[in-house]
Amino acid sequence: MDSEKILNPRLVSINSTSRKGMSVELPQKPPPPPSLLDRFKALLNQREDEFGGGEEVLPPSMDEIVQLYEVVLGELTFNSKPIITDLTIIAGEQREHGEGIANAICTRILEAPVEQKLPSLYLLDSIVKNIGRDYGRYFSSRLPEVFCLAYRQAHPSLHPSMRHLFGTWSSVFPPPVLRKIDMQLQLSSAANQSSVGASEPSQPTRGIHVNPKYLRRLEPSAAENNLRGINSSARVYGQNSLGGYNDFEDQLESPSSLSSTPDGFTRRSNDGANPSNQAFNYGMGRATSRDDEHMEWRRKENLGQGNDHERPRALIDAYGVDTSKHVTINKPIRDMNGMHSKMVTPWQNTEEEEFDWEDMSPTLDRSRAGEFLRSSVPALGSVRARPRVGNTSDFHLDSDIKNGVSHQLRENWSLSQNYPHTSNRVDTRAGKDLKVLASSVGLVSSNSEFGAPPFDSIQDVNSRFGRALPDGTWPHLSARGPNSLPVPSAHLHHLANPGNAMSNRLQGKPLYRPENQVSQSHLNDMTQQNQMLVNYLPSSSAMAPRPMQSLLTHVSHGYPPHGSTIRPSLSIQGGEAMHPLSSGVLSQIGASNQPPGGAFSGLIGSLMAQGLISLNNQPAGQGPLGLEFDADMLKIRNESAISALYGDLPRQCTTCGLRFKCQEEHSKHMDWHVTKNRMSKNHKQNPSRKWFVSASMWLSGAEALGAEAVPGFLPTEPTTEKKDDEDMAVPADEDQTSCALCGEPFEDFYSDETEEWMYKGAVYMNAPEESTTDMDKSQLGPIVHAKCRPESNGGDMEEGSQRKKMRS
Amino acid sequence: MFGPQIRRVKLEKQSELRIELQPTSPLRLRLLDGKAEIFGYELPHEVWITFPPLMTFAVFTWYGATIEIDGITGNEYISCETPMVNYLGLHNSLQVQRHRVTSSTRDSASSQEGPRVIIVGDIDSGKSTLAKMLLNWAVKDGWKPTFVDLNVGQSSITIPGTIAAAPIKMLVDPVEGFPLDKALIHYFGLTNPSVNLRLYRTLVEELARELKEEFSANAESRASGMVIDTMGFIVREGYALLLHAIRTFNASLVIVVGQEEKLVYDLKKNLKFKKNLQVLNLEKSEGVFSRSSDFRKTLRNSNIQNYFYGVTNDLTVYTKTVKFSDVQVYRIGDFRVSGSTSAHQRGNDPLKITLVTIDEHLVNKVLAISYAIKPDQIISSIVAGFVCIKNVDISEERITYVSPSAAELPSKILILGTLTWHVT
Repeated sequence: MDSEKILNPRLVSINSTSRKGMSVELPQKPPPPPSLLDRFKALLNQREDEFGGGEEVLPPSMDEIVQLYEVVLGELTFNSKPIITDLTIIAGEQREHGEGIANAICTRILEAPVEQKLPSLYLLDSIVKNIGRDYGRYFSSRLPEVFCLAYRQAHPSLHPSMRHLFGTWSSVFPPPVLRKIDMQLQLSSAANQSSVGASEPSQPTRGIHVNPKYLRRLEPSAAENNLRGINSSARVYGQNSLGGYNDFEDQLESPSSLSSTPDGFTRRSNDGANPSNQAFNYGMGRATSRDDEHMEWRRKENLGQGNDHERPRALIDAYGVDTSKHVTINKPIRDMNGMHSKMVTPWQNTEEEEFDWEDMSPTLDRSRAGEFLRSSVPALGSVRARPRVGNTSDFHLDSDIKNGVSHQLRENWSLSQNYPHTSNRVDTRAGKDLKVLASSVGLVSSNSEFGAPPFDSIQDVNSRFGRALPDGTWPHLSARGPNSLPVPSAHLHHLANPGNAMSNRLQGKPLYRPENQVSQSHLNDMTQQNQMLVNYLPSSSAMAPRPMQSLLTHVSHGYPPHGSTIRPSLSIQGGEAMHPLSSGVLSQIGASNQPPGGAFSGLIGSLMAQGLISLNNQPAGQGPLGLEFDADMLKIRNESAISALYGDLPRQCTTCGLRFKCQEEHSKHMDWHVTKNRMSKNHKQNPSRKWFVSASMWLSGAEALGAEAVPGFLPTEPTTEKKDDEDMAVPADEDQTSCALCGEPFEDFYSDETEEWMYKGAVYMNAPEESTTDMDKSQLGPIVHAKCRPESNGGDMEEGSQRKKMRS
Repeated sequence: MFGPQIRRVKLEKQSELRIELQPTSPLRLRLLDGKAEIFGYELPHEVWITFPPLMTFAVFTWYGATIEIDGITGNEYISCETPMVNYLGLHNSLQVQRHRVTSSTRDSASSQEGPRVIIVGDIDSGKSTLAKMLLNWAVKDGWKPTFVDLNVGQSSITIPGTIAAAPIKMLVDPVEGFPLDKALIHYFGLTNPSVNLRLYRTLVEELARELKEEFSANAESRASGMVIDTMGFIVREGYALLLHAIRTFNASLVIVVGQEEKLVYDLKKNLKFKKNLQVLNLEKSEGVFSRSSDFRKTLRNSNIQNYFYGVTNDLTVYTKTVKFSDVQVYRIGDFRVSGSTSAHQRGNDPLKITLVTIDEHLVNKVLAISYAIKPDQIISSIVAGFVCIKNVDISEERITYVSPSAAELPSKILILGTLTWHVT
C-alpha cells in the first residue's frame, strides 16, 4: 500500500508534467491539426479525466488500450504513410499490450473492406520490421489465416503486390509459417520469382530502414556507437538476441523524431532530471540508457512468464468472456464514434465510383505507365549519374515515377468527373459533421483534416510511403487519394524535415532529393495533363476548348520529355508551320496567276466601261483607228492608268527609281548599275563625248539595238565606244576573212542600205573612226575588229604620218 | 549668303511642287515618303538628286509624297490644280492605239503605225514638258517612241540652232536630259527660222525622210510612234511651218496646248481633208514659268556649255589646232545685198553654199562638223558634233578650237552659223 501510495503522487506529477508540455506546445502551434498520435494521447487523457473524481487512478488496462487503438486504427482506410507510421509508433509505445494490438490488427484485416485490406497488411509489415520480434511472434500465430483470406478476397491486380510483400517476409517470419501460406495459395512458382525479386530489393529495403534509425542515434551517441548500432541492426535480421535490444532502443526513440525541437529538448531535460527514478521509467515505458535497457529486458522476461502462467486461465476466460467482450467493444464504438460511422459513408460512395473507373481502363493504365517509363529512361540515367546514390534511389525513384503517373491519371480523371452538385453535397456534410462534433475538440480537429487540399498532401504521402515500404507499387490504391481522408500538409512537412536534416549532416553535403521530387512532380503533372488532353480530345465536346487552348499554350513552351505527347505536339507544330508556307505559296500563286497583259486589259476594260472606245464596232466617221479624244472624259482620274505606272510594276530600283515587272529585268538592271559604277571608278579622268553617229550607222544601229533589250543606258565613253564598235561595219573582202589582230573570222551580213555584204563590228585599222567612204583602200590598212583596234590616238598618229609621207 | 538649309515639303494627293532655281545656286532634292515623279521620271526613295542652276522643274505625285529640299530656290510653290489627269488620259489612249497596232492583223499600212503626236502651242505653254511625260510614260510601259525636236530656238536634244530626232529607249533623266548616243542632228545654224524659212523646211523634210526610212526597217519603233515638239512660233510664217510639219511627218494627233481657239479652228479647217488626223485641245499648266528674252539668251549659252562640259561638269574637253588647209568652212544661204541690179536680187539663193574665208571673225563661233563629203551634200547630211573656235593665227595659218571629243575631226567640212559661245 505504501508503495502504491508513493506511485500515485508520482503519476499525478507525471500528468502535470505532460500537461505543462502540451501547454508549451500550444503557443508555438496554436491551430496545428493533430496527428493520430496526438489523438491517441488525447483519448488517454480523456479517460483519465473521467476517473479524475476518484482518489485512486488505475493505469489503463489492456482492453482499454486496445479499444483506443481500434479507434485510431479505423482511420487507416487508404495507403497512407503518415497514418501507418503513427499507428506503428503507438504500437511501439504500447508494447506491453502488443498482443492485444496485434489481434486488433489481424481482426481489422479480416473484417475490413477489400480495398482496405492491403493498407492494413502494410501496417502489419511496418510494425514487424520496425518494432521487433515480439510483434512477429504475435502476428505469426494468425498470419496464415489473415494473409490467405486477404489474398483470396483481393482483386487479382493486387496479387503481384501481395506476392512481393510476402517475399519480403522471408527474414521476418519463421519458415514454417511462410511455407504454410505458400502451400495454401500455391505461390510456389511465384515464390521463386518473389524470392529472386526480394533478394535484390531487400538490400535497398535494409538500407532505407537503417539510415533513418542511426541518423537519429547520431545525436545522443558517438560515431562508434552508431557503427555498433548498424552492425547490431544487421544482426537483427539474422534473429540475433542482441539485436532485439537495439530494436527496442530504436523504437523508444522514434517518438522524438516526430516532436518539434523544443519538445524534444523538454523531454531530454526530464530524462536528465530523473535518471535514477525506476518507477518513472517503468510507468512511462521509456528509457534511453543501457541500464534502463537491462531493466526493460527483465520486465520483458517477467511478462513472458506471466503469459505462460495465465495460459490455461486465459483460454478459459477468453472463451467464457468472449461474448461479453464483443458486446463491450461494440457499445463503446457506437457511443463514442457515431459521427465516425457517418463520415465513412460518403467515402465508400466515392470509392465505388473510383472502382468503376478502374474497371473501365486497367490495361490502358498499365500501357501508359510502361510507355512513360520507357520515355523517362534518360531521367533514370541522370539519376544513376548522381554521386553517392546507389540502386536504392534508382529503385524507389522508379517506383515514385510510376506511382506518380498512375496517381496523376486517376486524380485528373476523378476531378474531371466531379460535378458541382457533388462538391456542394460534400461541403454540406462536412459542415454538419463539424456542428455535431463541436463538443469534442479532438474530433473537431480530426474533422478539419477533411477540409485540407487533397492534391499535394496525397502526392507527398505516396512518394514518402513508397520510400518507407519495400514495394512502392500501389497504382490502384493511390487513385482513392483525393476521395479519402486527407492528411495535413503541415504534419507531412514536419515528418520530412528531420530526416532531410540528418541526411544532410551525415553526408556533409546538402541532398537535393526534395528539389528533385518537386521537379519530378512538376514533370509528372505536365506529362499527365498532356496525356489527358491528348487522350480525351475526341470524346468530350465540352472539354474541347480547354484542351485546345492548353495544347497551344503547351506548344509555345516547347517539347515535353514524354514520348507519347511529343508526337501530337510535333504534328501540331507541323500544322502551324505549314500555314505560313501555304500562305507564301498562295501569294506566289496569286502573283503568278496575274495575266501578263493585265495592264492593257485593265486599260481597255476601263476605257470600254467609260465608253471611250469600242473594240467591236468602229464608227465610220472616226476612221479605222476608232479613237475619239473627248476632253471631258480625259478629266476623269483613271486609277488603272496610274497603277499601270506604279503598282503594276512592283519592283523598283533603289538607286534610280526605275520600275520592273519581273525579277529578271530587275537583275539585269542592277548588273548595269554595277558595271557603270566600276567604270566610273576605273576612269582616271572624266570621259568625253563621242562624235554623233553617221546616218548609215544611225539606221543600222537602230535596227540592231531594236533587236536587243538593253536594260540600261550608259552615257560613259567605254560603253558608247563598245556599242559603236559593234555597230561599225565595212564591206566584205574575200581576201580578208579574219581579223588581222586576233585572227578570228568576221561575221558578215547583207546591208540593204549599201546593197552589199558587210563585216559586222569591223573597221579599217588606219581609217578615222568615222566616215571611211572617201579614202583609198591602200590608205585604210587591213580590216580588224573595232574592239581589237588600237586606241584612236594611235590611229590618228599613223594617219598623220601617212599624210606627211604623201606630202613629201 | 546663308548656309544650306534642309526643308521638308509634304505634297497632297495629285498636287505639284514647282521649282525655279537661281542662276548660280544648285539644289538638292530627295523623296522621303510616297511616290513622286518629275516629267514622268519616278524618283527613287531617299536618293539625293542635284539640279544645276537655271533649271526649272516640277515634282508631281499621284498618291501623295514627302519631299526634302536642300538649298535655296529662286521661286517655288505648290499647286493642286494641274492638267495631269488629262495628260495621263491622253497617254492612256495612246497606249490603246499602240497595243492595237501590235496585235492587229490588218494589211492596211496606216493602221499598223503607232501614234504620231505633234504638240503645238504658244511659247512657254509646257510643250516640252508634256513631250517628256508622254515619252517617259511610254518607255515605262516598255515602248520605244521616237522624239523629234523641231524647236531651233530652245533645243532639247542638243545645242540650239538644230533640229534633231532621237529614239527613246530609257527614261529621260530629269537632270541629264535626252541621251545623245543615237541622235540624228541637222544644223540650221540660226535660232530664228524666219531668217531662212526655205532652209528650215528643207531640213525638216530631210529629217522626216530619214525617220521614214528607219521606221520601215524597225517594227518596234514604228509601233511605238513618235512625239514631235515644235516652236512657239504659231502665227504667220510659224503657222505655215506647223502645217508643213504636220503634213511632212504625217501626224495622226495634233495636241494644242493652252486656250488657242483660233489655232484649233484654223488647224481643223486647213487639215479638213487629211485622213487619220485628230485635233485635241488640252489645258496648259498654270505653273509654267515665263521666260524673258534675256533669260532665253542665257539659257542658250548654258545649253552650249552643257554640250561641251556636261550638265554636271563631268565631261572632258580638248583644245586642239588644225591648219587652214586641212579644213573648209562653209555658210548656207547668201543673204548679202550686193549691187542694185535686180538680177542679183532675184538670184538670192537661201540654199546656196558659200565658202567662208578663215579670219578673226570666226573667234568664239560654234561650228558644226558635217558628215558631207562634198559641199553640195551639206544640206542633206547630218552632223557629227560641234567645235568652238578660240583663236585664229593668220601668220601660222592655224586654228585653235575646243573639241568635245579626243578623236580627230571626222570631216573637213565645217558649217558656220550665227551661234557663239562665251565660256562662263
